[in-house]
Amino acid sequence: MCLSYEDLVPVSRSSTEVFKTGLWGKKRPLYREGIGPCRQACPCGIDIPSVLSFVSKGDFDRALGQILLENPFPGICGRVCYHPCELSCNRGRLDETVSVRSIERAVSDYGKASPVRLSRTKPKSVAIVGGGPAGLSCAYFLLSMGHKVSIYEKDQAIGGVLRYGIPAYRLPESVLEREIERLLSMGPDVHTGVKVDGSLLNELLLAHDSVFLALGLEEPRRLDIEGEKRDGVYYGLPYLRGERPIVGRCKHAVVIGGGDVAMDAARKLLREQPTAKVSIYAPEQFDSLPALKENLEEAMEEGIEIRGGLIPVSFEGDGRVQKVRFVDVKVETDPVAGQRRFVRGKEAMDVEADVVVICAGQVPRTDFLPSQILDERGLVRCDRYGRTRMARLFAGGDIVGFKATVADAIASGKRAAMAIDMDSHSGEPPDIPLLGNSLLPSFSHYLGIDRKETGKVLAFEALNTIPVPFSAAFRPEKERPGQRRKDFREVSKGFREKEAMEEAGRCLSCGLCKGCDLCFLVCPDVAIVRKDLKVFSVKDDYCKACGVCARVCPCGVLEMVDRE
Amino acid sequence: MKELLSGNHAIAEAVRLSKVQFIAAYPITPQTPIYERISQMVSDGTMDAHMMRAESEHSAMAACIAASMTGVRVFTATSSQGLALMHEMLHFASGNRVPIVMACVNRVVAAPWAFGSDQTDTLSQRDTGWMQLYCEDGQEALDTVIQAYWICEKVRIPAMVIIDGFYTSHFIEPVEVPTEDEVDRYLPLPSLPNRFQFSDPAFLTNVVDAYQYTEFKRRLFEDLRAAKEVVREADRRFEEIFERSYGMVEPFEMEGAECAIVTSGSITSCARIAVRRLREKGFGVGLLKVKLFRPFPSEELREHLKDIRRVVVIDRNLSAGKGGIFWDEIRSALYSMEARPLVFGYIGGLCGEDVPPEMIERCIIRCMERKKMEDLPEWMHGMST
Repeated sequence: MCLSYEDLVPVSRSSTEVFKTGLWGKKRPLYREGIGPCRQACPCGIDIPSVLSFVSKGDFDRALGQILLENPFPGICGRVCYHPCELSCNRGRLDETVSVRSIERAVSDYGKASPVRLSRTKPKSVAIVGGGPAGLSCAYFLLSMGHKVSIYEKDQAIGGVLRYGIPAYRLPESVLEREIERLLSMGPDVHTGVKVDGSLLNELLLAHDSVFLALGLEEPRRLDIEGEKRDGVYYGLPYLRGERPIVGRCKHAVVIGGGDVAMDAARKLLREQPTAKVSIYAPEQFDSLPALKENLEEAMEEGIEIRGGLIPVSFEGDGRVQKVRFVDVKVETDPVAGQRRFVRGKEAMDVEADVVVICAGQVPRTDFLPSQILDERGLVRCDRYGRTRMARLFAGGDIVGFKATVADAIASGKRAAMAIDMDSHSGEPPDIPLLGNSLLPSFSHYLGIDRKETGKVLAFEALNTIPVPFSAAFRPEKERPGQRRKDFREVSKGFREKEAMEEAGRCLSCGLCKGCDLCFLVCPDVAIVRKDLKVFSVKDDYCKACGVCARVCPCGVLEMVDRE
Repeated sequence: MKELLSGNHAIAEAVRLSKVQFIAAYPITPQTPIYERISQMVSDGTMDAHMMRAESEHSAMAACIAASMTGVRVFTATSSQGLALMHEMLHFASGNRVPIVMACVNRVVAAPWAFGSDQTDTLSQRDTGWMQLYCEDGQEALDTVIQAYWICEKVRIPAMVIIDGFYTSHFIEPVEVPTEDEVDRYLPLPSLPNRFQFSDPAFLTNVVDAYQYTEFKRRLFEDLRAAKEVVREADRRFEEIFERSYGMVEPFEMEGAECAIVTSGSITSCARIAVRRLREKGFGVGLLKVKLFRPFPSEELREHLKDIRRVVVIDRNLSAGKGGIFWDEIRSALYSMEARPLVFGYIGGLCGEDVPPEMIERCIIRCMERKKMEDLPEWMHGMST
């Protein structure tokens, strides 16, 4: 019996290249990177998957460089941002969302990088009024593009709400200084202690190509109720700024409001007055308080009592405030105007208090500005590129009535910087591609160094998650609640480098090729060619459009499109 | 040494003793204990093999084919639906001439959904080019697996070693488990080529034309017919070392018989008792057990049945629209005889229905009255006395 396999079974040693299987298909895979839902949600438009990819490899320097393309303040945002990126993270559909904000903090703590600097033969000269997050962001991106910037700040140091509004247990001063230092290294002219009025504004408009207004909101909103002028009644932002410190021992402090200023005022009080009972009373119901979830949880961990659905009607007492009278309240949204209004009930309740801090928001102080750029509330009216009705005058941040967060302030400064750079002062909006359905163009796309498809936002369904093992998210450790009252040390301890790397490794890399080679490996016709570590092309002669490569792509980068 | 083992576990022991290097399988009742026992042995280091849990029987067979092409000794086991799902890959296995040994534990093929023993699952794979060896009990199953590796690797054709579901697979009986040394003497490590060579890349299972196809199929056909000699040699060598042998067909009390019962699998044991009792009652009855079904032992059957006037074939299987499959095959094998016996077909024991010796006796006694061959089989099911 002859048992040579050459006789028993057919064997072919000629190439199959003669079979042009590519003639069979009407579609072909297209290698096209897109953006993750995190990036679409991020007001700064940070390319989060790229950042996380660098971090997962331990390259904190390049990760920082990547963030600095879109956000001048990763150390700050890594601590205080409301992280909409995490809320939209596709990984949440699988197990738990990636802790992006804590990773951003780790990147700013462990990475070293410098912002992009372009040189320009004819730089524009831009005056920035207000050294808060919006103003500094506008300055940063203008400086990045090679323009000249002069910052006018009424306080003795720039930083605005970052410096004066956020207590150190959430944002240590050293972090703020580091981020401000990075901006200053880009060489803006800084004029501190200068309060801009109408005449100075006119001078600035004459002396500069453009002016960016980022005054912020710092006049506390008054409640206009009985007893508001009594001793012991304070306002949130001035208290946080240290303008009106609380003198002497207090027994029971009542903070009024449900936002982050209320949380911060209460938590500052708790640390300054170690024996005081601190309570927060908010008009919103407890489950819909506007404060950041972490800020709320940490306040409660520290022993602050929070009650919702109550609004004060009078501050009573014999000279100094002794008690607050509340009534129950419902928050309704006007179905036409969309504005919130409080509908007071009838049930009154008295709460003893020797200190009251009112945190009912801030109102603009814009009486020195030309009325043509203001709206009925005294806010500056502008379009989404920060263009006011006056040519060469741009605005951003809280003063334009934008979402009052650091990240959104940064976004408004960035958009105005692009409009200023394009000399777009009025009329049709600048032709800049926006990230997904957000209203935000990314700076890296604007500079032309990011070629990811801005219109391709990766939905969970577009990803192949079969190769992804389940894993719980890491969350950084926190200082024990019992310890926190003793000082203003940062509550969140942040990630160690290893932890950040591991957590970043959980990113599904939506829209960003990981170079996993799956497409290359599964192609039955060897039609996928690897050109570089991460770049693939398709041999049309052999791709028969089976679509397996697109189906297995864990990142949704490959998609099947009609062949021309 | 004798051990109390179920038929399934006896097969697993044979796999261990045969030093199988790769197992890919998917669990299915009543085969699962084979899979479990091997998996346990691989896990605790008793067996030095790679165990692959496939996502289906189709994939399990595909993996076995690929593994066997690298030159290692390969095993899998399945039943019923699992075997049906493998069908496509069974042709690939024989077409690629891979010496895989597969244990098949007979079970009905749905629908209706059921679990009892029924040879229709393996007999449905009659034409896939595999050898088929039907075993009567756990001892025979153990011995046949070891023999099958020797045969398969000689002829480069895969083989099924088949037992009845539950009767053989789950009954616990004393089984003589040979020592490793004994088995090593009988069955050396495989000397199969690794058909994947990086230095000489080739495409296997490539497209061929009609001429080439027919040549390869004829080669398989001839090698499968020639395998009978190898089966005989395997059994002879086995007897030398282990002092047990089975033959392709086994005659029992055939001396002077005028009527022969033909059985396969576990029904044979009951038939042995029935034959003894009938002999005591004065009936000239013998028994022929068919072990080898592919390649079919036509010559051997003709030889054993040449002086027999009546043949009663009991089939625990059914080819709907025709009859029992062994009956059909045996009639066709005997047709070339000048003095042909009458061959009667009986369908019994489907889905594991009991076929006790009394029932077989009744069939034989009634059959003695029958004068002519029928086109259709009799049904033992529901047969009254």
